[in-house]
Amino acid sequence: MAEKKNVTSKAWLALLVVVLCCASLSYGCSSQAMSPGSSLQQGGDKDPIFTSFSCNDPAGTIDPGKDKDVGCCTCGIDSANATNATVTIGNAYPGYDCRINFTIQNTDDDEITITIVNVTAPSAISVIADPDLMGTILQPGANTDGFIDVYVTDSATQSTTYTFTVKIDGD
Amino acid sequence: MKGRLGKFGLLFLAVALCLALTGAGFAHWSQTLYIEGTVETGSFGIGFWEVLCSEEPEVEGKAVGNISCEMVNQKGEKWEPYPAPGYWKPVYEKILVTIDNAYPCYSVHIVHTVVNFGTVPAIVTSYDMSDPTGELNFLWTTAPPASPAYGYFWKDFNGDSVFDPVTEEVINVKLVNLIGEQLDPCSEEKGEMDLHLKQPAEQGHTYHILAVITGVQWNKA
Repeated sequence: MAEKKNVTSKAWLALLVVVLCCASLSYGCSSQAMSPGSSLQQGGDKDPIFTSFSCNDPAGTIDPGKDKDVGCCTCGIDSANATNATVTIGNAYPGYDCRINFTIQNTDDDEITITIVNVTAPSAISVIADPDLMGTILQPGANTDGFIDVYVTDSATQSTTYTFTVKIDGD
Repeated sequence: MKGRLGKFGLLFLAVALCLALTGAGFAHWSQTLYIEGTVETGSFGIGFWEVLCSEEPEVEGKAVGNISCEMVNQKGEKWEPYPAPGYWKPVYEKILVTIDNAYPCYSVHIVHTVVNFGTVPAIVTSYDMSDPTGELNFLWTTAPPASPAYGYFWKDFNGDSVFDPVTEEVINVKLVNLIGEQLDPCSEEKGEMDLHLKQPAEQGHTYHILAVITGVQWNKA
């Protein structure tokens, strides 16, 4: 009986060693997180980043699809954190629309897949993200282009500030 | 359960669970890409800024009828470079015209300035014409968006609620211009309106006419 228990314990111990070996192998593959100069934060350098961000209605230009320069759109990547970008649309009106184009780069050593593109916006504005982004696979160092379309609906009220967010995530 | 797994079994499960969670953490991006947007809407507003009225020369140069015009219902302001920089002058929603001691064929001419005090271009779509006393009714003969637009005030003298063009047409109205015109923000345009009293106009009577300008955002016209 004691011998049988001893054998079981040894089996569990062997299995644990195997699992730990696999885990250490896995960590070894994620070498970038541990490389010199990289952030000690988990996966600090692994994230995809925005490498370009622009809008088709900068200040001083005719509004897209219109005959006048009324609204304008400014946007850019956060200089301190390339995973964040901001869009500011001024003097908008019902019927105003613009497109924001961006590029995402995979800075990881592993392939990544975009699995979540989540838009949050009030009903007064319509924000549509590039449907082709979902499922995009990015090899290490590769780029992909995407866009979001912003449209101000007839339910928007004047002299009002609306906010929206677009969240892009993946595995 | 504990007996079946043993101490090492439990330890194995705990370690496996931790590793699984760690693996899941590594499998996901540790940070998400975020786009934060702000949309600030502009404002829409047109109104009257100035009004001047005058009467057509009366027969034999007499001064019989009287007309006065005023703007009412302040609804905004427009910046004016004069008399001083930064001077804001009120913009009004309505023009009130008062005609007194008039007679058939008495005609008046009303010149008014309409301004766009909003931040988006506007198109003048119409004028809502009415009698604030409720005595006269208004109907279009050539309605906007036609320009010039024509209409008339009539009074239901016999109380049958049916307009009789011979005996009940009191004042003819002509909106000479502006309807359909586009005004950019901070711009202004002069408009003209003609009124002509008809034969059924009553003696010893004062008429009041209210004109409200209406417009729409330029891309929605």
